[in-house]
Amino acid sequence: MSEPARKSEWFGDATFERVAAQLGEPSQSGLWADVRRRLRSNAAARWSLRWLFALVLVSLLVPLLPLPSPAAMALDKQPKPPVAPWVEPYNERYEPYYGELNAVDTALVGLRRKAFGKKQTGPWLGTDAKGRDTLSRILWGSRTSLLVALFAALTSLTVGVAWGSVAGLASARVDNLMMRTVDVLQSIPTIFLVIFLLSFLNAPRPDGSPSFVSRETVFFLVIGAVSWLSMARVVRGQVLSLRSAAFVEAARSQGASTGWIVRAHIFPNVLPIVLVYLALTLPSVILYEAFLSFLGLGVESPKVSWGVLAADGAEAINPLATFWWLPLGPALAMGATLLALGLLGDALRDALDLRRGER
Amino acid sequence: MRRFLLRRALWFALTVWAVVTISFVLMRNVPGGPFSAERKLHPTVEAAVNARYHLDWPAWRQYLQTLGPLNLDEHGVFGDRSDVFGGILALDLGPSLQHRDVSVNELVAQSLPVSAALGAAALFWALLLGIGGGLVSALRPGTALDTLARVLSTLGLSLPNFIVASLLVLALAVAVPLFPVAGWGSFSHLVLPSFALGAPFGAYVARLFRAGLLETLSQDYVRTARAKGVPAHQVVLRHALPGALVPVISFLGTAAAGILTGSLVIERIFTIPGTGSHFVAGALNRDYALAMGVTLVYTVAVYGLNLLVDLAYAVIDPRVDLEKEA
Amino acid sequence: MPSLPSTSGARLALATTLLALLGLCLAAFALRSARRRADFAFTGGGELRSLDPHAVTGVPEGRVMRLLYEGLVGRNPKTLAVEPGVAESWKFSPDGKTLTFTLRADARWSNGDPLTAHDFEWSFRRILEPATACEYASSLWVIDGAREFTTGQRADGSSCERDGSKVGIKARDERTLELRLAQPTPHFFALLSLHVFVPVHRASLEALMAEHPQTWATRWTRPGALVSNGPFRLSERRIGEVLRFERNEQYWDARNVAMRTVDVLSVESWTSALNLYLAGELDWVDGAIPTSLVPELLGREDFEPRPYLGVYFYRVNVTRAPLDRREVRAALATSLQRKELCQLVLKAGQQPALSFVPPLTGDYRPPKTFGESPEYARKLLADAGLAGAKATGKLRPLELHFNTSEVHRDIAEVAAEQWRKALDLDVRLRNQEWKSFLDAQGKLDYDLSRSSWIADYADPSSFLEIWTTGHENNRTGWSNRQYDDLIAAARIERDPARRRDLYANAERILMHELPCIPVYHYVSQNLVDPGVGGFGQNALNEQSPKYWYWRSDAELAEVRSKSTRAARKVESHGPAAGLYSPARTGAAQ
Repeated sequence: MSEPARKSEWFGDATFERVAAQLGEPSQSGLWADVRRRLRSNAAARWSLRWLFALVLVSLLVPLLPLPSPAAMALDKQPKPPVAPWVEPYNERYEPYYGELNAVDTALVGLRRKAFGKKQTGPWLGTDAKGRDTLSRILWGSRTSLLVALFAALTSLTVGVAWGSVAGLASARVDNLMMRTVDVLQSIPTIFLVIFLLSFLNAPRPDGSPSFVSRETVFFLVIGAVSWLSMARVVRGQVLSLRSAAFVEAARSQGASTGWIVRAHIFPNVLPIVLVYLALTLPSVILYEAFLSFLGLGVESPKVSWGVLAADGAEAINPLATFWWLPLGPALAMGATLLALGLLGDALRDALDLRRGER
Repeated sequence: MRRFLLRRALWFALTVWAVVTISFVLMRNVPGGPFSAERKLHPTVEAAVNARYHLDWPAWRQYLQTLGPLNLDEHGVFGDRSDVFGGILALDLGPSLQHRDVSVNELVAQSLPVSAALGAAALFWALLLGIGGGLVSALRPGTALDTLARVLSTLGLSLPNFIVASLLVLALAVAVPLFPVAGWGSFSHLVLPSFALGAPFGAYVARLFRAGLLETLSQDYVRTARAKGVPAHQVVLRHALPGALVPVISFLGTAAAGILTGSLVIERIFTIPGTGSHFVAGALNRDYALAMGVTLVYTVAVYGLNLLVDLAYAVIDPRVDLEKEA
Repeated sequence: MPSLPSTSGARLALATTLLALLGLCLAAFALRSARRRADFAFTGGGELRSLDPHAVTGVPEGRVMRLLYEGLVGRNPKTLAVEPGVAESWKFSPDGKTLTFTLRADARWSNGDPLTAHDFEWSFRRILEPATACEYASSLWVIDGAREFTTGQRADGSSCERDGSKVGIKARDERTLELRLAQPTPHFFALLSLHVFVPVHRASLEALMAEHPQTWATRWTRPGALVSNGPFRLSERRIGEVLRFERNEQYWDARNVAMRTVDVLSVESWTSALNLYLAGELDWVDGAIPTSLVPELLGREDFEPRPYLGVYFYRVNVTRAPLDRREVRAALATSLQRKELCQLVLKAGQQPALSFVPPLTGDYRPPKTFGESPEYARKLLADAGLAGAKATGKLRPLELHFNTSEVHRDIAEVAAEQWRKALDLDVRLRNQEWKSFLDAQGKLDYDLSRSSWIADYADPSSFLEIWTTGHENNRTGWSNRQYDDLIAAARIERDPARRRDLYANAERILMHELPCIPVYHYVSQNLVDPGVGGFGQNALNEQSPKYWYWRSDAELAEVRSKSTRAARKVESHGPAAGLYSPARTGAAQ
């Protein structure tokens, strides 16, 4: 038996390989127009895009909305159940305490106060045990989760793609070394990395000045550090198969320079697989944030994230007193967003799947 | 084949070494020690505990000791003779620093079969749900059934497993007491946790399998078989299925690693005495020996499973088979 | 095509079958034989650290030690009064320095060996031995020569020889044990009833240590090997799952022990523990109950919080500006609205703490010190020229440091909010996981840091000793000469009233200087089946398992009819006929 024809992909992600197999042919100039047309004709993809777009917009502009502050408390014995918007559309108990805000958000909150004054939406999704508005917390929490996702996307796109391309293009020896590095990194349990970075980077300055690295930054570092590994693997696989592809060979035999080949052939053909994989990475990153929150390693209060809300919500699921609105909101928000990302990924893959499209 | 295995073994040793070294460095540099507690130890006592577990040695010596098995210390190479455990190469991970009555070997030996059984059951669910769902949607592509299966499988990937697990307990153990709420010991204890653990992977398998099946069904050899008049179910079973399983099987390696880590949450919620809980406890309690032990188990498991996957690959790849028949 | 074995389908089927078989084997191997439910089951949180009584400190471990071992004296579960254990009587010498115990003649180990004063002598010396690494060793240093034996240093720091024969622990004969103290120490007796000061079986331990110098620790606590002297003995241990105990028939008072088997389950998540309790798999749960559930639980008869000798407080790092100024610390302490915290966050009847020592600590009554007044706090800051942060910019933002836990986070969030409102002070939260948290606290890497202190015994010394200069649990950088002197004087004062006054004066200094800001005094939060009798709801939340029994339905009805508490009835999972000790059923017949 010979070595399996998998280019010694030890921890290979099957999904990519599927996509890679489907993307075996060179790109034509019309590819992207095709893709756009196919995506547009796919209802699920349309709705997913709309949802994601709306979510990003809302999370950017959430300080402007007439919501209660996610940090303002009104202590109470028990969480309050939701009140329908038509029963209590708004009240005037707005309290402008947000914890730390950056300059832009402070300005936005200022605008909001000018526009709406003391008015704020009613407890449409209920409140938690400290009287904080669940809806507001979910919307503010989306910022953390989306930022984590964004950061993972960025590291995947930069470090992951660069690492993979270099490994794919370099000599076998360098390639082997780079990929084995990825193997090793992938074998280290990330939980150590998380604890290490959290306690190491979160150390306060000796003078007591509170200018330490924030927990989110650590979060982003950790998630970034682990999310590029699979991307590197996938890109390398694709580059490797492209390198020996007939059309690249042809270009080379016609005297094209390596730089030109990379720009004209490799890059456009790697891009689709990168995009598809990105759509798969983002949900797992958002879930990873939730996992860390469950272990109590989530973002620092008064900041919130979907993971923190979901972990708090999971605690409210018990046989004695179920505060169903606490898990429901974050679960729906997360579920819908991850579903949208998943469907978009599917649609993207279908749209990029040229061979099936031509049949 | 032999060269392939040999090279693998070499890389395996290198990877394990690198992981052990990196983990060692990381762990020793995290603040806090295994014996720090709210009620702080008296310095004399603390020094005695540290000496008992050789934490008073310089880092390089502890590192050598962790690696083993030369047991230089036993022969008094560094001056004093000390009784020490064997080290990783001797497959002796030493005593746990947190659970003082048990060695890490015992902890692993007790918990690994539990986690393995949980993982196997979870894989069973993953394959059952995944292949069932994938088959349904691939055989009737574009229908409502297909859409339903696809949305369900995407949804299965969209919720944190601690929410799913909590809901399962509430619904199937408390509201309708079909299964025990938590614990370990019988097959009924296995159902809920393995489902909660396996379902998301099932969702993934369904998607892979659907895509794989759709593609193999359009391959030439399947078309040929169909043209020859082989009945439809036989075509699917005998020709399309193995091909479509290839991506699924290659995913199982990744899945197994995910199940190992994911079991951490599930084991906590269902109070299952598996390896997952040691994973976090080892790191959080600074139980260096235990943490190193579970890291090793994790690495070896992931590596071994991927090797198995590669071998399985070669066994069931339909193209290999077809070539033989041709 | 039809040649079956060569087709991939058949290979696949074969592979799948093999895989399934492998999974089944694994499952069969890992799923243990079904366990019969024990007479009584409770959880101590996660897996215990050890069954060696000299190697543990935690509350859950302490509970298990009470099952396995018995010391010279025990405590009454209702009154906490010291009562006979292995010793049937004892007396102090006139100068209060020598304590002589007479052991009961029928005291035996679980393997039938007689338990003698020599066992105690050897075991107490083992506690002091540095290699044992007993965290309570320093508690025994009141014994003459003990400190010198552990540390090789005298109290003044000069070094000396470690000599076991000079330690004031002597077995005069098989049944007489004599302890000689360095100074008369009034709280020593209360201390001796701690779960740590119990004997271990010398013969089995020494044999194992000789045979397995490296791995004896992992061998002698195994079921079968572990010899103990308490009301129960270990019969099974499944790591991470359960410890099973059986009644020790060799125990001198075995006829008064009702439970035949006791299970200690390892359950890490509170929600799971609650589920198990409600399903009748656990009979007693105690721990960090999610505060959102407390109001619901308070209505049930099986949940009745009681005052508990513990204090929740914030350490203040007095080495850092601006917290080095007493005015700032006082402003923080007086502007906290503890009542709001207790009623709206904690909810289980925790008491606002305006003193460090809880009110019910023996017969000690903490002095009245400071009160809550945001106006006063603001005035303090203004007089010191340090008005609120945003107004003048003179107070930098402070950092409130706590370990990762939902309850700590809740309290910290509310405290920060209260300080923000009262003092216009920017208080930021920083949580760390436990070990990093302890590390930072130990290095004084914090401004304000969450802490708690639980008493070992009902005496103010248990709380106030830690604030002396250089104590390893001080961790604030605070040091006060006058305070140290008062504590040193109280340590040897034999007149109870004058001793109390000394402690009260010390606490006055502590609460004036405020290196710690007390927040609330604990309550015990036991969720215990109403059918359990002999359960001690006491200020140390300490249990004597030998007294546990199951009430019969008739007795339960009677207990309920006598109860003045308006609480919802909860079904008991105990046997209808109850489960009483052999002595009691014998008497009834």
